[in-house]
Amino acid sequence: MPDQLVVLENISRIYEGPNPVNALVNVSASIQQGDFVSIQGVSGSGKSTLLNVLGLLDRPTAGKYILNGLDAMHISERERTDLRCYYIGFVFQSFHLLATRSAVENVELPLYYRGINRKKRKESASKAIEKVNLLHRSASFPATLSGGERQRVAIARALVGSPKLLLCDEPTGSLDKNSSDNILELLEELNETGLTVIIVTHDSAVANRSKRHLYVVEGQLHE
Amino acid sequence: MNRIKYKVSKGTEQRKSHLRIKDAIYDAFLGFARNPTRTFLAALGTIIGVGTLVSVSGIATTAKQQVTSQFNSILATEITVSDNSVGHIPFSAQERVMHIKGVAHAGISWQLMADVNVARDLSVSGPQQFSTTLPIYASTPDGLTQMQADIITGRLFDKGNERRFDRVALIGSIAARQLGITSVANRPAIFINGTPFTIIGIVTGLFGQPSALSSIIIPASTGLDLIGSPYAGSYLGHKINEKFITEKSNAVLQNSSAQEPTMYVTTAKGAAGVVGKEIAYAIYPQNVNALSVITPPGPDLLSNAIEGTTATLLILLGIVALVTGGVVIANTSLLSVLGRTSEIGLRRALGARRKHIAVLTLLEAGCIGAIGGMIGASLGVLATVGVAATHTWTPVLSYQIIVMAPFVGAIVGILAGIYPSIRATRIEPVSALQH
Repeated sequence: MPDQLVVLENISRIYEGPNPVNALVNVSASIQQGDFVSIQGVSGSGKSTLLNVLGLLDRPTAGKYILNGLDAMHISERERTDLRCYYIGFVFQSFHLLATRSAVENVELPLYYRGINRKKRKESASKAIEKVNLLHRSASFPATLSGGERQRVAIARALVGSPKLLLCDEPTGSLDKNSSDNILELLEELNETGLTVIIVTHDSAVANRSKRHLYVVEGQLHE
Repeated sequence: MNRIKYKVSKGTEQRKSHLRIKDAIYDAFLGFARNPTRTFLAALGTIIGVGTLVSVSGIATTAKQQVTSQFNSILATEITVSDNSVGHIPFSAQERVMHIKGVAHAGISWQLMADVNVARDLSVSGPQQFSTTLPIYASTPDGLTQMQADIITGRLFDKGNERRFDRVALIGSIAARQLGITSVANRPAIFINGTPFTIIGIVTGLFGQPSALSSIIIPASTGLDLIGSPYAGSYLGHKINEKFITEKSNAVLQNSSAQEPTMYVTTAKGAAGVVGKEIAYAIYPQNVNALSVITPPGPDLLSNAIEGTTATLLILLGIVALVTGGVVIANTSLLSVLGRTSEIGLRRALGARRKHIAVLTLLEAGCIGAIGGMIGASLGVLATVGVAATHTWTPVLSYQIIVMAPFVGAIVGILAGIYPSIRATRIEPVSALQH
């Protein structure tokens, strides 16, 4: 297993249009396996674009991106999907849970795309939901869960496929302080088990819980 | 830097995103089962389409069956026998035909003379007044039945009148108005070419010979006695008028009939075909081609003809109904896709390939179509039974249509889901997740 899980070299992302926007400018960074990194920046600084690039949801205009030793830059859309499927877990500010699926069914969702049968999906989803201390609410639907519980379900969904990289986009942005603390504690615990966690946030209090701090200012990355 | 060969592997196992069809079906099932309102709205088009198809089919088939049986019971029992250039209908034909098994009634009628001077007698022995020209028909009593004569007032002539060569006559309702006859209570008299006749009834109906409404109808034997054979002394005088032929030959020649006799035969249900073949042998055993025998179309022919018409109607209505259903499904599926942009983006972020999204969308549309097909078929059956019960008909419905309905619905759903699924695959996760 390579020590460097993520390597970015001179990554640029330009949004074309009548007035082109340089969202990322020559961003270079490397993130080790087991790091707990926060990426801070004001609105429009480019931090979300950086997260999208890291999560293979967006393709950089130029540069080099190595994920777990694999060239993630010159690959097809299908191959990027495969990498997302097996290597990356996502946690979003607005949870993105399916309203008509129970907590455990939401957690199961990534496993559909790994060809795992229903029984094993249930088992894995239950384990993941147990890991976030929400087993007692596994049959509940999102509408009946609190904000903190929903985010725990979302984290369980991100963990169920045992990813190497957990990308969190403002994971506490929609939560009260108590729930935020609980979520951050959970992320710290997960990081202590060896999971690489990257949090994008504009909240310094959240960023201070990480071991390493990166800042995006006008598309440029500073440490 | 050289490109690193792409391979996401765990040991020797190739690790690629893949979705088992079984799981895709289960996922699609959860998708529509957990959204009953959306599913119902999406299925509504197919419910209407398939429901229309099944009910139209059922009602048309039921009506066809009803029409066929009605037709069989009325028109399909009527045989028409007329002259051709080879031979003539002998007067005895009626009696001969009645011996054929399956014959219910037989009657002969013909137009005796066209435009004969007919005058009404206003007093018992007074002068003739209200003179006009009318056609004269001759008919046997059974012929009146075949002509569907309905009596307005008075009575029809009978076999007794015929046997006695009575100078009695029926007058059609139009002719009665022309002559100012409204009642036969006083036994009004008319003169046909100077010969007195007593009017015993005013008739209407006459659907078998509508032109007789404006004519005088006299017994066939009286016609023969008075005028003679329409064939100027040939077969028609076989029995009754045999003695008159000679005496009246001059009159026959002078007053040749305006129309050759026609024999109408009513048979029992389903016997028309067999009776039609036997009639010629019964009347002209020496030359079966001497007469023209017209039998009604058989039940199979009739049924096929009606079925052909019904099938065309069904196909047109079915296509319209299904296209409507398809458009509704397509519209609802498209709206559903647009409304689920965030979900589709999430699935893509979690590892779903574009084709997995397409499969999910198509499966949902197909399943919704199948559900719509089942509900539509059930409603179609209910509608058919309801309509049949209202008319006290026996509902007749092809089971194939009912069995095929869910499949038709599924196919319509899948076809309608193609465009929405293409739209779904174009959704980019990065933009979808911003919803």
